Amino acid sequence: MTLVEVMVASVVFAMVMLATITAMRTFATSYERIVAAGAEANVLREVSHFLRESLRNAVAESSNFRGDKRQLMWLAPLDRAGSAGGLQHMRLRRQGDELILSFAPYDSERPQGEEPPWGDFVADYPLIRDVQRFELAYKMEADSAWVGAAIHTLADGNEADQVPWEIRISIETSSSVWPPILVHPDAVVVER
Amino acid sequence: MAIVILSLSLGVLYQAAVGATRNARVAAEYSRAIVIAESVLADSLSPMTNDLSIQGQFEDIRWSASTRELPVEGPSDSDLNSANPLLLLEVRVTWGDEDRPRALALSTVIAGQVDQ
Repeated sequence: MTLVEVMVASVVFAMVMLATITAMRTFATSYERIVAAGAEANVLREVSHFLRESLRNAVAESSNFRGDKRQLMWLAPLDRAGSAGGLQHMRLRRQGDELILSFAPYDSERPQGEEPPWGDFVADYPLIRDVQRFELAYKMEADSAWVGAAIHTLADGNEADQVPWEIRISIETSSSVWPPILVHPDAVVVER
Repeated sequence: MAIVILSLSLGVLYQAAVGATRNARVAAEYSRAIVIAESVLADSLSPMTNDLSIQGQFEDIRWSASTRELPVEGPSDSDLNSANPLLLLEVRVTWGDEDRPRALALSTVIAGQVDQ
């Protein structure tokens, strides 16, 4: 084997290795992108589906619904999430960079106006982990404008909570702006 | 010969990676489009939308919603339908470029506005 042959073989080997390494790096980047895109789409699908279903089934009682721009509390049946199930109070709010869902079991003997025991039975659950913006809005009647609180004015001039005609949830994460999630509650009534 | 086989193999693998990336992106686009369609559907459930025809856009995703009276056969049903019409609400969402347009549609039946 001459020196020229050794050099040619080395150059060919270097080219093959370069092509292989470049290809492997491209595949690794593609894999990371696919995993990230898949995870983001999964979170969008799961969170929007859960919120839509749960808020559609929100019990139509003003004493069990409270909403402003930053947080939303409602009462709805829950199939099962972790160890929570049955009729549950739920609260959605942003805490730091997380969108947190809190649970408290419904208790018919709890005095009206008393705060449900959030997190006493089931730990808070982070629905989204990198929230940059979270905002709620409400349409109190079908043809009314969007407002920042789910309240209506009584005949005596006082304000009271009310389950709205429609709820709008706006979410922005570090990687994307979500389409607004609009939900029309079905005015569910609970027989007691 | 070895280099030729290597380049062919890498080419095939590269195509597979590009295809997988594109599929993941398309799946994400469908997820967003469905959220938009469901939101437009929820926003159009008002019973005062007999002649609804609206459209809008969210980022590069375009949507439109329209209602039309649902025909009901039979004389007694027709009477019922004219008194309290049923409407077919259709929401259509489109996105993508001209070469490869994508679309999805959702529809439901809602109660129409009753003429007083």
